[in-house]
Amino acid sequence: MKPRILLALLLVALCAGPLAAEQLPKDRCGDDETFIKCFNRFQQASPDQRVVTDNEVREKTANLNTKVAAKATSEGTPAAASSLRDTLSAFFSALDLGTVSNENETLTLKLNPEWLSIGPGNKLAGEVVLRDPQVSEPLLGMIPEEKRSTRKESLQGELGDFDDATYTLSYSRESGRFGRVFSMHRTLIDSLFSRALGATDTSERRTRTAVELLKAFPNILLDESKASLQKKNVELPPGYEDVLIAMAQSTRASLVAFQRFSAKNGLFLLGDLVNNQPQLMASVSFRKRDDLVGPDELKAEVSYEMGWANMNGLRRWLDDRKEVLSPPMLKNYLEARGWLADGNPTAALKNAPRLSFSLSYARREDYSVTLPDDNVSLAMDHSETISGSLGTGLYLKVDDMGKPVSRIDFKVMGEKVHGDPMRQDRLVATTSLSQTLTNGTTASLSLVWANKPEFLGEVDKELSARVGLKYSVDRKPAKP
Amino acid sequence: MPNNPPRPTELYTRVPDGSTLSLRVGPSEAPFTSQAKFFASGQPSKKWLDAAIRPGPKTAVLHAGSAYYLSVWLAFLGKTTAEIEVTIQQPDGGTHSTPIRWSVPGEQGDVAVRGLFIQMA
Repeated sequence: MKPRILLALLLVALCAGPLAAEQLPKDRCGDDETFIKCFNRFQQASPDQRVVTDNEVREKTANLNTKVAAKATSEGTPAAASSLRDTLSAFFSALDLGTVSNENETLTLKLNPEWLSIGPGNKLAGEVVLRDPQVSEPLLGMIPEEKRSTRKESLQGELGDFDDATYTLSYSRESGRFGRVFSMHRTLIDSLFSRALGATDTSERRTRTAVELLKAFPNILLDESKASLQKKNVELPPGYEDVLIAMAQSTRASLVAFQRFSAKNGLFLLGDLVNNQPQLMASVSFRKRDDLVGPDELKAEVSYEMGWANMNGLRRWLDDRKEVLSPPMLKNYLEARGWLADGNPTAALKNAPRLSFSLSYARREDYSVTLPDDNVSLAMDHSETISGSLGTGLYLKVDDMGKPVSRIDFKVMGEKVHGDPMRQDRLVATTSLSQTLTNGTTASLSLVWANKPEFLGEVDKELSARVGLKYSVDRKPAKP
Repeated sequence: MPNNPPRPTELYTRVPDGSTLSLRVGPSEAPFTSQAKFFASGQPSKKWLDAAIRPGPKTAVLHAGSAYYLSVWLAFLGKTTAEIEVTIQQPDGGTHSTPIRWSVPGEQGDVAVRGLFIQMA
């Protein structure tokens, strides 16, 4: 046979393969198709339903496997331990005290939350950050230049692993009224979706029929096909595959109805309401440093953030009306607030306006260090800073897929300083506008005002002594 | 034996009498809700709510002479991946076939269903 004819036949065979696979009967199982494959084929989602593809599943599974593999590898075995940091890291992991990360010469130990449990609704987190200690630059600057580098090396050698450590304890309130934890609203969410499924699942009867059929014909397994049964001389009862196909189709129809009913009544928007719940957080951190590195510092901060459309508002609305939550009642609430129209979330909801507030206190301790050999002495009195900020922001535009395109934020920050001659009280207000461009990059423009020119910071264009403009484009790194 | 990754509806065959089905769903704090329906031949179906199956396990004993079907329905309130795991433990303590682990990614507004037929030995 001539090579050209062979090639033509090969091409025909290659094209015919996929075609033959696609030519399965549309209303019954194929002769060589196993019943379970046939069932899955008929249960495929309808074209107007977003389907999770096998590729997506494979991708997710691959990621998961990578994560599992990474987790299975010890983050630092005692045999490989070369310093106190490595030993500490291995010890921390081995005793399941928490997680350890080591980046840029900074070791971060996060304590397992279970070790810090103080009861339901109150979440504590503990963290220790060990930075690579460095001799203070102001101190080095006082050493005569001709011996500075030699002294830097010897002073650096005196520093140990714990000579620049920050200990942080943070608290967040997680209850039905505070925090964005889904489990706090599980009963309500379950009840709504359970009702939605109860109202839309029409596959129950057909499923029961199919299960009874499997019981009645235990010699027919679903991983067999009509052809394989014929080879074994097993007779397929009439209507067997029809019952399975009917169950598959009604399951598919129920899934579509369940999705539409839930969307129409705004059930999926419960995700937004939970994410907009008020967040109350507090933290205290203490940075302990060797005198060669710098003064010790204490910082305490309280912050609060909330979105307008949240679960607390929904509960108040129901309480006012003495109503119990149901899918239609949720729809009424969302429509009354202008967050749902014709079964779709409105821009007013997707704009997700938020308000944030924070107050912090910082204290730098008295500091004194003397290097007699260098005839150097450095001392600083303690200083205190109280600062607060108030901010608000919202998405100006959200695309059809719900991804934010543009956003505006306004923030005003004030700072009052005591005891530090190098710093003064200041007030800075910033309005920022960010826009995602068609190529995926984000452009941002900020208008900054400061009460004194020296607090304006680095700006791209000075409009006046106290007002400036900052602009930037964040380019995404090119994909390898 | 279930494929890897498993199909949306899977199958266990020749399951020994007295085996125990075990269902777990996770992660616990992810923005989705789930519900399972368990059908046993000759009996009314049972509904297992999210709180019963996440993290689970919710178990059921399987008997010879019956057939079973388990469906797990998911509704996503945010972008996440739901993990469903079904195992069958034989009366001798061994695991029947390979445990089924569905990883179901979804975004806000998505729904999904996963099913399992069980045919006894």
